[in-house]
Amino acid sequence: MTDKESAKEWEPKIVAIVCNWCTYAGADLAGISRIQYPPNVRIIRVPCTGRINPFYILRALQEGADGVLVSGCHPGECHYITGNLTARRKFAALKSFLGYIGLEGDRTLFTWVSASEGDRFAQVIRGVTDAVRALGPARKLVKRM
Amino acid sequence: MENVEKKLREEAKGLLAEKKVDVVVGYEKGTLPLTATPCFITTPEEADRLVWNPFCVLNLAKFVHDLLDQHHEAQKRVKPEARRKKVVGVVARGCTSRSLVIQLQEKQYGKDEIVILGVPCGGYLDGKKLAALAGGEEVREGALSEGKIVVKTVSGERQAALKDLLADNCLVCHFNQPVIADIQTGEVAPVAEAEKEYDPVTAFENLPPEARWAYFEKEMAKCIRCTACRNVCPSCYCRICFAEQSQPRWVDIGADASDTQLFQLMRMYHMVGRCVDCGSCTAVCPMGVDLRKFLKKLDKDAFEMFGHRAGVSLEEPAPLGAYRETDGEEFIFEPKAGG
Amino acid sequence: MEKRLIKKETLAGIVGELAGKMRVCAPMKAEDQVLFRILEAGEKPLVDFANTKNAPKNFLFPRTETLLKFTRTGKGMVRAGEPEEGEKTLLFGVRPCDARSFTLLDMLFDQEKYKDPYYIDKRAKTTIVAIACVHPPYTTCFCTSVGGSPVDSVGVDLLLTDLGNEYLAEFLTPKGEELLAAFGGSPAGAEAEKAKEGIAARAAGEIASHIPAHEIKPILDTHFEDPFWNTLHQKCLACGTCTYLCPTCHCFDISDEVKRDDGIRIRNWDSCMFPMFTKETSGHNPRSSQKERWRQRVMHKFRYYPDNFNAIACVGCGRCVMACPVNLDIRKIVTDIAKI
Ligand code: SF4
Ligand code: SF4
Ligand code: SF4
Ligand code: SF4
Ligand code: SF4
Repeated sequence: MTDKESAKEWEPKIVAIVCNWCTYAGADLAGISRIQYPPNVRIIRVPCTGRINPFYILRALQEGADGVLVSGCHPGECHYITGNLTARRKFAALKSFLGYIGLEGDRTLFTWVSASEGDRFAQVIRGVTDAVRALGPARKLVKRM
Repeated sequence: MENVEKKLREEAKGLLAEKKVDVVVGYEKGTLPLTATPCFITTPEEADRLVWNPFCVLNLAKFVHDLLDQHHEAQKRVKPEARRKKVVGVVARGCTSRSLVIQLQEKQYGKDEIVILGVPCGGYLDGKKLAALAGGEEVREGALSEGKIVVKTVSGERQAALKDLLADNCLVCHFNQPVIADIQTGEVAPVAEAEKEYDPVTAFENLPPEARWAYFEKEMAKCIRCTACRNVCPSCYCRICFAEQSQPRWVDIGADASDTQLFQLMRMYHMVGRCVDCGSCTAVCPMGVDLRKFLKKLDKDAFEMFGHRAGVSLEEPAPLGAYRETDGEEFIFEPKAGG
Repeated sequence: MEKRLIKKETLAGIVGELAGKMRVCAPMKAEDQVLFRILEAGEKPLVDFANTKNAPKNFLFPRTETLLKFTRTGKGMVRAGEPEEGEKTLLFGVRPCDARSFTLLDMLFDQEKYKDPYYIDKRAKTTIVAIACVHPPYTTCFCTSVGGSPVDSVGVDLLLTDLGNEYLAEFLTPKGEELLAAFGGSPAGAEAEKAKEGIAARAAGEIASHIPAHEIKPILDTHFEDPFWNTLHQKCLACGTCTYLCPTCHCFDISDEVKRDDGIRIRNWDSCMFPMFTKETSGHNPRSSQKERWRQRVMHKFRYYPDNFNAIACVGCGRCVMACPVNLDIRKIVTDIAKI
C-alpha cells in the first residue's frame, strides 16, 4: 500500500503494544484529560510487557506497520513485579539485533509510561510519530503480497 | 589425536560392557573422503568404529537430546513399575559440552542420564574452505598427515595446512577442552585466537546500515527453508517449532522474502545466550547461508550486555530468562519534554 | 533427427543471445556454488561445470507456486484472477540424469487418471538442452545403476556432447529442432557419430559407484517390517535437504496466505523427511518417528514407484549423497538392503 501512496499523503502507521496496568491506564488518562496527540497509533493492550512475544513486533512490521512502540510500567513498578525486567532484556537484545541487520533504529521503540503519566504518554506518541515520520514508509521486512 | 581415539574406544567399550550406558553417541568414518559422521554404538565390539579427528563436524548434543526425549516420551506409555532409565554416553568437545550444559540447565534430562566422554579439540575442517582448496571440484581422495591436508581432484593434487582450513568458529574458540566431562580422554589441544572472537561482528557493525541490510537480504534469499540449520542445532529442540505452528501461524512458507527473513530472525533470536558457536548450522546449510555472521552478534550481545557466555556454567541461567535491576536502559526511548 | 557440429567456443554465446529472446535458465556461478538461474539477456551460462547443487525441477515444479488468488468482498471470498501462465523456457545445461528426472516427474504429474495443469503447462513450454557427461563429474554418480547413463538422451530435446573441439548437437525432438536456427553449426557425419559412441562407452566405464538398485524391489516387498529400519534413521536430522535437492522428489503441501483482504493459494515443496508431513489435525502422526519416514523414502523410490510406474524414482545424481549433513548415503543403504 505505502508504495503506491505519494510521500505527501503518507501518514505513518504505528502499532503500540502496551501493558494493561501502566501505559494503557496512562493512555486513558491522556484521553480523559483531553491531551492532544497524533492519531497515528493503533494501541494493542496486553497484560504485561513480559507477555510480549518479540514476534508480535516483527509481525507488525511485516504486516506493514511503519513503526512499533512497546511501553510498560517503569522498572520496579510492574504489576507482576518483574515482568518488565525480563522484557527489558528481551527488547534490548531484539533492538540491537534488528539494528545489526540494518533496520532503522526508530522503527522499534521501547519506553515506560506509568498510569499517572498521561502527559508523558502524549509526549511519547508525539515523539514516536515524529521519529517514524522522519524515516518515511517502512520497506524492510514488509510482506509484499 | 590417535591416542585420544584409542582411549575413547577403550572407555566406550568399558562403559558398554559394564552396562553403564545404553548407547555411545560418537563419530565414525564417513563414506566420502575427509568426512566423519555421527554414529550410535550399542555394543562393546562396535566401539572400534569410533573416531576422533578434525572431520568430526557436527555437535552431538542434538542427538543426546533427541534420544532422551524420545525415551522419556516412550516411558510415558509404560507402567510405572516397568519404567527404566536410559543412559546416553556422548563424545563431547568444548562446544558440545556447552550444549549439554544448556540442555541440563533447561532441564531436558538429568545429569545421571548422560555420561560425557570429553575430547580435546583443535577445531574441525570447514567444508567451504575445503571446497575452495579443491577449486570447486569434487574431492576424490583426501588425507591428513602432519597438519597438512592433501586432496586429489580430477585435475590433480592440492594441499594446505589444516589450520588454514579450520572453520571460522574453531579459529576463535575459547573451549579447546570440554567445560564438563565424566571421562577425559586427552590433553590440552592447541589454543585458538580467542581474543579475535568478535572482530568480524565489530567489522560488520561498522558498515553502513544499508550495506548490512543488503547483506542480510542477500543471504536470506539463498535459503530454501529446508530447516537443516534448526534441526541440527542442539539449542533448537522445541517439539513444535514456531515455524510449524499453525495457530497462530507465525511465518508463511511461500515465496515472499519477508517470511524467510522472519523465520531466520526469530530462529536466531531464540539463540540469545544459547548459541555455543559450534558452527553446525552453518556447516549443514546446503545453500551456504552465512548464518554465523548473525548468530555471533547475539553471542556478543549476550556477553556484552548481560555478561553471559552460553553453556559455560550449570549455575548461570540463560540471559533472557533472567534479569538484573541494573540492566542497561540506553535503548529506552525518551521523548523531548513538551515534544 | 538432425545432427550438427557446433564450435565449442561459440556455445555460451549462442545461449546468451537466446536469453534476450526467451526465458533461459542455466547453470551459473553463485558465490561458491553452481546453481540454475534465469539469465539476463546476453549473459553467458557456464558450459564447463560438474553439476548444479540444486536440481532443475524448480522450473517445472517450483519450491512455491501460486495456484489461485482470492479476495474478500461484501459477499464473501471470490476468486481474484488466475496465476500467470508459464513462459516459454529454455532449460540449458541439464545433465542426462536430471533430464531423465523430468520423465519420472511426468509419470506422476501427467498420468491418465490425474493431470496436474500447473506442471503440464510449464513442461509443455520448456525445452531441455542437456550436456552429456563426457567424464562423470562425481565419484558419487550412479546413473548407470538406475537405468540411465552419462550420455543418456531420455527426456532431452537437444543433447550436446563434447567431442574435443566441437559439440555434437543432436536435435532429438520437434522442440529441439526449433533451436536449429539459433544453434547453427555444420552437419555432423559418421565420424562424429563414432566419436560419440566411444565417449559413451568410456564415460559409462568411468562411473565409480554401482548399486544393486534393481535387486532390492523384491526384498522391499517383503520387508516392510525388518530390524534393518530400526537403526538406519538414527542420525537423520529430518532436515529435508536430501529431498529438496533431489531431482525426482515431488511431495507438496498446499496452503493459503492472506494479507488483509487478499489471499493466495500456494503449493509448496514438502518432504517425507519432515515430521509435520504426515501429522494429522487430530495431532496423531501415522509416521511417528524418523524410522517410518526413512522407510517411506526408500520404499517410495525403490518399491512404490516401480509398482506404480514401472520405474525407480532415483536417477543417480548423487546430490543427496553429497549434501546430507550426516552422510546418510543412499548408495550404502541400497547396498545394505540387498544383503538382507
Ligand atoms: S545456532 Fe548454530 S552455532 Fe549456535 S548452537 Fe545452534 S547449531 Fe550451534
Ligand atoms: S539450512 Fe540453510 S537453506 Fe536450510 S533453512 Fe537453514 S539457512 Fe535455509
Ligand atoms: S549421474 Fe553423474 S554421470 Fe550420470 S548423468 Fe548424472 S551427472 Fe552425469
Ligand atoms: S535419491 Fe539422491 S541420487 Fe537419487 S535422484 Fe534423488 S538426489 Fe539423486
Ligand atoms: S539430508 Fe540427511 S539428515 Fe537431512 S533429512 Fe535427508 S537423510 Fe536426513
